[in-house]
Amino acid sequence: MASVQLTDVHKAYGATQVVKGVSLSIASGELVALLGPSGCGKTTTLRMVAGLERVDRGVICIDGQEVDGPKGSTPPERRGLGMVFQSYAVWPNRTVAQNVAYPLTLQRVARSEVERRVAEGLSWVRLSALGDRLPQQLSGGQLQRVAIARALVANPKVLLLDEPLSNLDAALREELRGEIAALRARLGTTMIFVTHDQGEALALADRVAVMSRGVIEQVGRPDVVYREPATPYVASFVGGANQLDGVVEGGCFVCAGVRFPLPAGSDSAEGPATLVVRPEDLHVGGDGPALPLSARLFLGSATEYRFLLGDRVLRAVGPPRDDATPSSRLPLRLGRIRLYPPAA
Amino acid sequence: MTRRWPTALLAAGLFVFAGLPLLLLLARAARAEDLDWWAVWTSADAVRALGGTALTSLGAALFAFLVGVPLALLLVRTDLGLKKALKATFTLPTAIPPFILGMGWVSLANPKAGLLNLALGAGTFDIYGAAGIAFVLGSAGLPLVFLATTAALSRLDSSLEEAARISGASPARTLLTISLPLALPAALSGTALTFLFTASAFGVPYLLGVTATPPTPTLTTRVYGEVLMGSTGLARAAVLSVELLVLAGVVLLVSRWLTRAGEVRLSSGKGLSLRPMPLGRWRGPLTAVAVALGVILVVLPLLAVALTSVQPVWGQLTGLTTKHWGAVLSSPRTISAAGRSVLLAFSAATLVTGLGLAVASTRRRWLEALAGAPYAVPGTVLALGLLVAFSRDVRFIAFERVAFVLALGNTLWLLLVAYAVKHLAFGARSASDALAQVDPSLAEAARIFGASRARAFVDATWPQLKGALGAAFLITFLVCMTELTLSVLLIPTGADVLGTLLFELQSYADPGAAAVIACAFVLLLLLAQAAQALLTRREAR
Ligand SMILES: Nc1ncnc2c1ncn2[C@@H]1O[C@H](COP(=O)(O)OP(=O)(O)OP(=O)(O)O)[C@@H](O)[C@H]1O
Ligand SMILES: [Mg+2]
Repeated sequence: MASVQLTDVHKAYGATQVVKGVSLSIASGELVALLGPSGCGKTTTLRMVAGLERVDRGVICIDGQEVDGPKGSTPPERRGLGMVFQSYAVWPNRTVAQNVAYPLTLQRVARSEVERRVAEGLSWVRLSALGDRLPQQLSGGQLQRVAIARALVANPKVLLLDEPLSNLDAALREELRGEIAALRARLGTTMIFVTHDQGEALALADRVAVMSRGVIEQVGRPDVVYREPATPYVASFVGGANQLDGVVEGGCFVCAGVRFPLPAGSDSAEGPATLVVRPEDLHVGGDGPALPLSARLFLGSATEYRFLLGDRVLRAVGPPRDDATPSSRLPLRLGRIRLYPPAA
Repeated sequence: MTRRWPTALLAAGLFVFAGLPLLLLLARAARAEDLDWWAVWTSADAVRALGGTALTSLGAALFAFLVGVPLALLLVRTDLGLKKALKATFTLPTAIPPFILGMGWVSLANPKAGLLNLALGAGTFDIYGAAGIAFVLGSAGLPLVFLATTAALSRLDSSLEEAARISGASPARTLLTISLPLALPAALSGTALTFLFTASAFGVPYLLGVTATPPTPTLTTRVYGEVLMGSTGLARAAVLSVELLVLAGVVLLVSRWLTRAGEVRLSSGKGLSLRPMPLGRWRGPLTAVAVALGVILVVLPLLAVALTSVQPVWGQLTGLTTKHWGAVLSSPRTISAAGRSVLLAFSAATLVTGLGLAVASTRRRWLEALAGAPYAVPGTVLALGLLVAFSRDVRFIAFERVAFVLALGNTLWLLLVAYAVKHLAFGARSASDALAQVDPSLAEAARIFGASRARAFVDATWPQLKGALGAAFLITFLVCMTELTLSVLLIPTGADVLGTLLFELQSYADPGAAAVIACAFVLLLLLAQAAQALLTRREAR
């Protein structure tokens, strides 16, 4: 267990700046999720913590010790970390037990002790019966469990997980997500968890760091990030909110020529603004302006309605309605909204 | 295109020109009543020859493994410098006849007159003997190990290594305990091929073994010696070549087994990421070592050949001269030999590509395997088989009417058959790989729009095949241009091809002249490679 500090970390590949000044402080025993869309630099950030990439600028400390910075860098093998890769990275010519034993043998742990700890590690991920199997004989979910056991068996200071669940199918993902949560509760290891799936991040993390194009937009508890997104970007990425650019005018929000009455109590200055509203806070019905319905998707627990507003699509989620037929016009009412200064 | 009669015809052709000769060779050995096989095998000469073959082949295989595997690891998995140039250098010997490398080493390390010995004092190096043969053929066979290992290593996802680093392994330890074991089956199979390549080699063991003190005979040079002795020699040669054939078979089986035993699924292909491991402060020194190896193993012997071609007196550094170049290039003998070689190599390459395509088009695995088989038969044995089957004095032995109306013995036709049969594997394999990539729906679409079967092939299928077939043509052409092993045994009396001329000039008469021919060939080869690189680059655009 250890803390991790990133201070103003930069990284470029050639001319493209990939990480542009990331600062993040992770307390000992905390699980922080790095959340962001594809290509925003999550993996790069994680790999710098692991020591697989050098930082161009900035400092990384693990447990208070500088591991990368202007003074030089500690190679990955001397950082005492564990890492789980998206592609499993289980060595195909070694059995499950040999895979898990590898970090221990490198630490010159005595053989009987290795056996005991491998057995313990395999029991954490419920693979005790499969120690002698070769990776070819395992399913994807089992392979990822092997990778987790291997990363945890040597008591790493920090466990790094790079999209560990994204190669698995939906049911397995749920299951393994639960197991990671249980393991964490049990071992208390500091974890950095990279994902592009907001559900995963919100469910697992103590804190979520939302990344976009190489910078962290917001760090905070999942409920805070969800309820009070700091920027329209965070709002639309976490929770899939609708984002509208328009003007506040006499208690209404005007966008593409449509006037939406603002809900009572919204302290809104007149003038250009960006309005963010979650699909579940955009209610179909009432006395608002009517918009043409472009599609209706039955989701099971609710129904999603898609409306056309100019050239944009507005998403609303609510109970099923009988009058929602294709190309009908339905009234819309704003529920909880957030207003931000207009996008630059 | 799965009609019956082409398959039958191809199979019959292969049988007559490859299977039958080997059978007749065995028959020839069996029919020699006064010959006790066991006595032939256990005679002191034969035992020494077998020992020579085993020793040089093991040595060459070991050398190729010890040099090729670390090189492949460094070039594929790390951030070594000058990777492109190094890779090109170490693959160059695939196209250069080992005999030319051997000539270079004779010029460098002849104990009395070699350039290195002139520089460092006589007797510092001696390239003659078993160690020299193993070294030269080991460096000539290096690409077999290097390329096989490189191919396997390129399919390793970097995360396998990164996982080891994070588990606490240093870069060196990661390469040794993670990357190497995963590429080992491929490396060992390449090593087995180097063994086979050395055991089948004739030119270099002849050049460096026969005149060594004490002489280092091998099975191939021994077979050649026996053939020169005439009829009884031929029978003894046949018996000896059985040994060679068995050795080749065993090695091939071992290699096949190694490849299969080590088959781990390396990568699913998609999303494979290759991030070279940083070598840190070792990068400079290791790059220097690799460059030095490339210079010593490939560049130096070629430079020595070039230097020999402009030395007035062999083994004496007394100025430069163009007299060899002038003499060789204007000699009618060279010109007619070159003409014959071009003609033969061109015809053989055409046959190999055409027949290879025909074999692959039947889409019958057994036929493809059959077409590939002669390549694994040591050249000496194949040549001997053809000699026995088609030379006049043995024409009465069997199947008289069928095979021997083909009066091929002692003509260039027989040499053409030998070239084509031996290298058919190139054409068949390229065509079969290319056909596997071809999208049949393109030809089907052409048929639907009214093209005939032939027209559809020309318009839709051929464009997808021509790249691979062109490469097969080129490599067959180049290999046949200076082919030596088959040529020395099958050349009609009184005629020369470049391979035999090179062999004769180097072994008996005029190393300077031989160096000119070798040099000219290497230059041609580099030009051809440059042209091909240019063509593929233009096509890629
Ligand atoms: N070795 C590299 N060389 C050049 N560019 C790179 C390299 N690795 C990553 N990049 C680029 O850096 C950017 C960020 O990459 P990174 O892998 O960190 O993204 P990510 O947030 O993990 O995305 P994903 O969710 O797709 O994994 C991408 O645009 C990528 O193309
Ligand atoms: Mg990533």
